Amino acid sequence: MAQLWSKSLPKSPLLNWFVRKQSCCCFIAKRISPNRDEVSLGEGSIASTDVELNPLPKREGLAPLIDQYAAQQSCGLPTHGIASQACSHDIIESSKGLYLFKQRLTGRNVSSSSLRPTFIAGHHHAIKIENGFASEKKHFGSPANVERRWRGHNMHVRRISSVYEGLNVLKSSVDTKSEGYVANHEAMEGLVAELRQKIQKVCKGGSAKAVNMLKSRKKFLPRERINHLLDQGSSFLELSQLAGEDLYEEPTPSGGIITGIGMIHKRLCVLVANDPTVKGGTYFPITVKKHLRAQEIAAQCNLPCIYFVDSGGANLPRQAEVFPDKDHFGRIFYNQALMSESGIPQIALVLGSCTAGGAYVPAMADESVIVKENGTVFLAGPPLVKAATGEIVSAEDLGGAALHCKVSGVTDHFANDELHALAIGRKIVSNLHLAGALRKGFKDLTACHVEVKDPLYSADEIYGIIPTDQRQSYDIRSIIARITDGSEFDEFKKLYGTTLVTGFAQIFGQQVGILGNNGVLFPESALKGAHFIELCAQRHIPLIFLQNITGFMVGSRAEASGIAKAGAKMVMAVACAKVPKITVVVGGSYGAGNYAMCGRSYSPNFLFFWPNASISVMGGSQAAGVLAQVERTSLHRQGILWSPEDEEKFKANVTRKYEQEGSPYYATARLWDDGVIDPVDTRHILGLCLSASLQKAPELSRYGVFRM
Amino acid sequence: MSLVFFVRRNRATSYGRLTHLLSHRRSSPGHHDLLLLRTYAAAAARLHNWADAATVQGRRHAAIASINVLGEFGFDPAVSIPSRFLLSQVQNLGPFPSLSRGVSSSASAGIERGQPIRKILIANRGEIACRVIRTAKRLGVKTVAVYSEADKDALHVRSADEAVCIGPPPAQLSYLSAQAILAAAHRTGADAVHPGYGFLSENAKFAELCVDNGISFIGPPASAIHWMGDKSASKKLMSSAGVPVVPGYHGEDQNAEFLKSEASKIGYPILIKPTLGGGGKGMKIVEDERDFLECLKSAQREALTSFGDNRVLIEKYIARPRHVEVQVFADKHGNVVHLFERDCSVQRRHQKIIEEAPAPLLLGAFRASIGEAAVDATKAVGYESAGTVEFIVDTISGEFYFMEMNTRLQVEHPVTEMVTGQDLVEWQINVANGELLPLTQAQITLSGHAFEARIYAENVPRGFLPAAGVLHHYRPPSVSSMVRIETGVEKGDLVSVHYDPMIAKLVVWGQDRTSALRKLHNCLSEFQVAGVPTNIEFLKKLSTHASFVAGEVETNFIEHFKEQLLPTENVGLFKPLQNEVLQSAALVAAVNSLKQYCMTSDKVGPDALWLSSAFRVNHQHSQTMDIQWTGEENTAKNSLSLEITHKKSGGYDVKFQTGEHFEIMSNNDWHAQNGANYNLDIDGLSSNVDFVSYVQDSSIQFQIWRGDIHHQFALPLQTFESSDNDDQNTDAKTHDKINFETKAGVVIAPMAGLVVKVLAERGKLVNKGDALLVMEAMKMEHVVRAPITGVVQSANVLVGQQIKDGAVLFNIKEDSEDGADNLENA
Repeated sequence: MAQLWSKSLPKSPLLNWFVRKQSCCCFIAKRISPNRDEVSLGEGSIASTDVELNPLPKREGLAPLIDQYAAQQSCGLPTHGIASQACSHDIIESSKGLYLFKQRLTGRNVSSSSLRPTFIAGHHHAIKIENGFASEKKHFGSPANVERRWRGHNMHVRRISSVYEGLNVLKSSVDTKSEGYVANHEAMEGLVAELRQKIQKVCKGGSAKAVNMLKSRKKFLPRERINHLLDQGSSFLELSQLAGEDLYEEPTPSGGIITGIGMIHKRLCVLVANDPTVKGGTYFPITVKKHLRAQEIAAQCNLPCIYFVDSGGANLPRQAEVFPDKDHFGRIFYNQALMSESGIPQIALVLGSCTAGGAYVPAMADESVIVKENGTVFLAGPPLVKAATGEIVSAEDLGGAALHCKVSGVTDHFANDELHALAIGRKIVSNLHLAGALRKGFKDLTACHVEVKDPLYSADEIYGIIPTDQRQSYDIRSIIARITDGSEFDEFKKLYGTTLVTGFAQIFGQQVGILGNNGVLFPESALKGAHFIELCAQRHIPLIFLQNITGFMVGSRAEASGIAKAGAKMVMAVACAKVPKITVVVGGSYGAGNYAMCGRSYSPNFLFFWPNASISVMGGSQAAGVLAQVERTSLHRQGILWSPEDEEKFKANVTRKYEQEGSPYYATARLWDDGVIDPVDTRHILGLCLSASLQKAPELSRYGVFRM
Repeated sequence: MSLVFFVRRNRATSYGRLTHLLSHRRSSPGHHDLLLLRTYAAAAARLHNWADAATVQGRRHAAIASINVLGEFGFDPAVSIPSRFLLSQVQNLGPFPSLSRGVSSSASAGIERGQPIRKILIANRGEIACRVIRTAKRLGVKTVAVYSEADKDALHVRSADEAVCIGPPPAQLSYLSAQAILAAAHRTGADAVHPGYGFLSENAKFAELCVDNGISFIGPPASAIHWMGDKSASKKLMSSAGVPVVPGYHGEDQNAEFLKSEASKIGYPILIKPTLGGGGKGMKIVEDERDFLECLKSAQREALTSFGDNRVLIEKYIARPRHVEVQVFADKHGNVVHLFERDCSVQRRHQKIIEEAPAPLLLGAFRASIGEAAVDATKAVGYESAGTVEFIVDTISGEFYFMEMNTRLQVEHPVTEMVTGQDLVEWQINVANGELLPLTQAQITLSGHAFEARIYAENVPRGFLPAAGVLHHYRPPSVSSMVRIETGVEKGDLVSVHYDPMIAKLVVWGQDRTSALRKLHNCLSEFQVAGVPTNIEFLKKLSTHASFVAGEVETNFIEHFKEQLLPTENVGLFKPLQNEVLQSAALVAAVNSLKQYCMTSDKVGPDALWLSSAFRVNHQHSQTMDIQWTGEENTAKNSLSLEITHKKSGGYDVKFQTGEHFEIMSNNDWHAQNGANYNLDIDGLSSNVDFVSYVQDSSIQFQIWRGDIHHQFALPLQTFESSDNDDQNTDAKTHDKINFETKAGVVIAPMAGLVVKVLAERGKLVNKGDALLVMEAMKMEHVVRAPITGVVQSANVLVGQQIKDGAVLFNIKEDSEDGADNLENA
């Protein structure tokens, strides 16, 4: 390929021809005689042109070959008559031999998807063919900027040139026949099977009795409710499915609340559904946390919220953990108020009881629906009313659909049954008309509407790549190769700070910057990370963190070289970068490495664990060692002799505790993440998360004081 | 020899050229070789025609000139010419006609017009209008469509050069309104009217009216229509012309012995029919002479009770009749040909549904004799243009009898066109132009076999009741030289209640009957109509029925094989059908799950990522569906419960409640799907599936075609109708409340609570603002005060009583305003 690359560009008849035929995807052109260019299309047809027809000035030293061109021009643009116009009028020759084609495309076929800029780049000459529209500024800054960039030969070349083509494709050196691979694969399969089993269990909801009772009242399970509300056959990104697992004495599958992101009338929404089969849908502390987390995502991603309310309010025995604190029950309504204020629609569907605090969910909503008979809204239910005032009143009369739709005005829409309510819910979303709000988003910037290339390697191979022993290292690029479009990854600072891998890629056509760990973080790695994060924040490129980090390097040499300072820079960059951030813990997540790699405290838009992940302040054995040393010193001071058996026992205890608490299920039960995911689904989930994150307008990042 | 070429190739030779050609003969009398002679003969014939046409068109001088030329060159125009033998061999030229007859007939028609037809108004709608327009366009003749308000956007309106609205939807006010049609013809300057079939096509008055208005009627003369319209008169006419008619006695003599002797003359079995009867009522079949009197008595009795008249008639009974009809064509010069027969025996509700040409199992001699009989019949009535002579054929005796003559272009004319290679509409136009028939009898040859199946919007299980509705989907099989689709509708059109519910005619041709039949069945399988019930399934069954395949057709065919042809009411999911239906249901479920995605415009953007795969985190999305199988032609409704799971690989698992399980994959990229065609793989077997869905009768209708199989399913839509009772109840409650509040002097409880103290008794005078009662609610005491000054009329409360919100506590009568009260009372 490199041989094909020329020092300069071919004669323009080819280009002229190319512009005419730009609907074709790829061709190779060469000079077959001094006067003739030949262009062969991918399918074998050949066209040639006379050099004499060349409307551009001849140049000496034009090489006979041009690069392979992958003109990803979409959707059959109307090109007739445009080419000549482009050639005769809109070619700007810059002093350094730069030709700028400004191609004006008109016609009904032209949509935003045709705005993709394409380039042919060379060392001395470059031609840019741009489907010029007002939006060109968006892509390249002001025209002056474009010009400047071109003159500086600082060309941003995208999937065009022969040199470029294939350069960024990650190689795979995975031997799928090797023993290690097979063993790893088996181990991971076991982990994923365990995960699926857990999920299967929570998907059934609460006790069978409660589920039957629900069905008898013509109610649906929360996930069924969500399925009915979503666009038929569309995806649902459910979050923290295993929240509340083994957290309380009583089982709380999915924390008694289902949250996630889904599409309604092609509009992404955050859905929050109480599970009435889990303790009557009452709010356990984890329920509150999960509800708040969903709201946080909605606020962060600018997504409308839809609440499927069917809850008895706070879980009274645990009121102390639910009611009083900042991030407790009251925060739900606070969030509703603030989101409504900032124009994020709040919609409540009252499908069951909304008692006490729960009553404020529909009351605080922008629009609310209530189901006849099943839906009730009141601050106090009939028992409490009787206790308070002695009044005996039925739930329906106290706060039923008719009352609230006709008399009180607490709810807006009267639904005859649950499906009706869900249908009204869909209608409400279709009437949101967030035209203005959505256009501001990243969406238009990044959605390149190109044909998405699948990765070259099967995602299933990830199973075999991840070593069973966490101490063994593996190349994070082998994971990246199974996540990004076409397994392409444009690595940044490849040779510097090699324990951190950084680079650009696309996931389902969405531009991202990826940071992945290839070992412990050294000062250079941290500096490289900070640099790369700043780069992405500057360009509004979302960041993906693939965490497999034991921490920053320790030791005198590291300390002397200012590892703390370098780490601080990266932490500062992570904290301040105002771009969507998504973290996936693909291995260990220990110590300050967790911070630098955008752990939970750094508010990534989404954070997921793989089933093999583990998280703790340090490794279990290290902790055991540290603690044993402390203990021994303390015992020694007291003059007690610590037998090696006792020490081993002590260490084992510590290690076990760390192992248990470092488990992804321990973490996800406490909502330290947004869910444990199957490694195979990582690419898909990242794609969904990215598109959800991009609903918000890009912000300018500012940073605090970097310690230099 | 260039002259030869010239004449033979160029049929549109001008008068001038022909005379020139003949003068060439005079100038070189030596050249009398055969070929040249033929050429001259052809030229003469052509000239003769020319003269003829000129006469018809009133250009007498031109006609006379032509005749003179002929005479001058040794041809005798009045008698036959010496080279008649040669002439008949000249291709594409008709027999040499007797000119005198041509002149006289056209003179009697009295048409004084000088031009061939330039613009045709088609006084019809639907497929036949489109059919006529097609040929007219090919011939360079302009077309005018007429339409009722219901047909504003119909295909025939769009196809024609011009279109005129002739009235409201009912046919009486539009397509049957001669005045409106003639007005439309005048307005558009149409010089001919093609009546199609039905409507005014066999209306002698209309034909007459057209001619009176100087518009040529493309069809027979009014007199022929009139004669043939009268069934008994036509039979008499035919009988006298030597055409066999069904033997019988139709006279007034009702003497039993006389009738018996008549019956013996006819020969048993015979049929006794009430003279005034119809519909088979009171008809008696008598097999043997011995039973005659008894049957006659009972027939007379029934006739009296049913029709109030005991007269009967006697006819030969034909046990297994066949309906064979002969296409005839006559020009204005007395030439008549037949274009062979058609068999239209298979009928339902006395309407044909499947026709074929030639009639199966007929011997050549029979074919020739029935054709001759048809030509005789046509000649007898002085016919012109296209007509059909219908015969009833006794399959047992092999006799045929004249039934009636249809004086129009028949619905089933395409089968004749397919086997003879002619365009009958073109013939009609040529004949109307006064031209000779394009072919002689000997030149008309029969080639292959053709079928026509009429696709009707009708409800087969309900006795073929006509149906109406929107054609949500309409895709006929593709047309070729062997397959013709005659239709007047397109997808989205309405099959209106006002007119005939025929959707299309499917015409196929094959080398022989077997291959034509196979083609017919194949095309029927490909014929996709959704939105209205159709007879396609029925036709499919019919076309594969063993007796039909064997050609053993008769008019009672459908009645005879009713059990095998008609769907039985409420067929359950019996075994052989079950798997097919379930497979189709599974495919419907899968395709429906896809549909949402397929309809999205963004196929590659981030939206597509969300919409494409029904992705679920760590589990698979599954949903339950209740699909109703609406059975063949809407007979049965079977609900099928299934659960469809979206597999990670992109396919679907469909599990039925009954335990059946299917795995469905798409063979090509789901994303690349367009429209309604899918290539699907069900349990490893891949097939092309066509799928249509639309909303009708408050449910989503799914129609699926795969191979030979067509199934219809429905998914009921949620209606969410509000229950009125509930609304009224709550309304009443709230109204009560409002009423209480609006009455002055009524004290109501501001909230629910417990009465702690009552401060006002009955009859007590209270001032406005006085405390009346203390109640406890929400752990607080509330004082209820008097709203006005007055006397407490009634106190409805006691201490310790629990009161409801809005309950009436006191009534206070206004004291100070007695006067006002009185005034009001007065």
